[in-house]
Amino acid sequence: MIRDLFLWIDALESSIAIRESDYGYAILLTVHVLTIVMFAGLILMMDLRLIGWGNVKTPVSQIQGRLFPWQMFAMGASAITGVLLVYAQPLRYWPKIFFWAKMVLMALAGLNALVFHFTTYKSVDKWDTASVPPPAARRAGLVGLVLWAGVLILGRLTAYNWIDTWWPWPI
Amino acid sequence: MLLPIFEAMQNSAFTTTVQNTWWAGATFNVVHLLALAVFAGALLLVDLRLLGAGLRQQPVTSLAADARPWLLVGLVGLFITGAPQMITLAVRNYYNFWFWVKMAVLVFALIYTFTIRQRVVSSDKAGRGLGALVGAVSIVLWLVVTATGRLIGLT
Repeated sequence: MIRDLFLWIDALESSIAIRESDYGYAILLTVHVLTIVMFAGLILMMDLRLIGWGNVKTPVSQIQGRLFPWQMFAMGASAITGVLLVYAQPLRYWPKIFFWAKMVLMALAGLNALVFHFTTYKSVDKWDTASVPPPAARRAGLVGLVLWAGVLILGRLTAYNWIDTWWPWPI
Repeated sequence: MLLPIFEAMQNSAFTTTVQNTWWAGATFNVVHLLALAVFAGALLLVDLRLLGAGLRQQPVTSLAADARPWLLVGLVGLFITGAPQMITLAVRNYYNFWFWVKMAVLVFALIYTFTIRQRVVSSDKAGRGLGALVGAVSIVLWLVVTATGRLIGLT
């Protein structure tokens, strides 16, 4: 089903137009990298605070609240450029295991953030200024850090074709 | 004038070793990106504050002091993983327009970060206007370094 969708997109005029434009790919990829680095960097600063490894003079609620709009701006821009990159070359990304693994890690990272927000974060008033937050918060920070690092690693590795040759995904 | 130096880097034993190790080039690329995220996070946290956005309730000096170790960790990581990419692709880089733009802006950005910007974030005395200017210039400089770095591999 997803494969049919990718094949359908591949034949669309707008997809072909981006694919065949001189600078489309370079511009999209550059903006994608700039915004994902901004997003990952600010997420990292928040995760370091949750773990108790960095920015410990700033209350957790301030880091969370004040950086959130910037994180969402960067995430929105990198999501738009990311979708357009796939939209322009769906059959390039379809067989890539690194690409699909990246999508799974992103979903898990989002889930980790949601669970943290609706459970542990509810009691932030009690540990807002603690330089070392409670274990559940530290765990969420560490899991977020590892997952987003994984997203960056897999995103960069998507450019490589090491295992496409034996990956049995039909194309 | 510089070409012989770049050719020597290209023909070095180090380059041969890296090129014969299938995972080396990818590892440098991946760790370079991770280090960039660390560096960018530590930089932006403070630059946004200088612009009057982000963590406005915190003094600049305290934020900058907290972020500094991560800024340095990111920078060291960037150099350790960037230098091998410069050496092993030396001749290609030599003829790459974006490589030279990146290097020129990088030198300027480094000097700026550790002189002018460092001075402003070391005291809370800078006025809002000056702070915002210093933060904006910092963001623009490193944005150009990052964008041109990405473009080296696309041309």
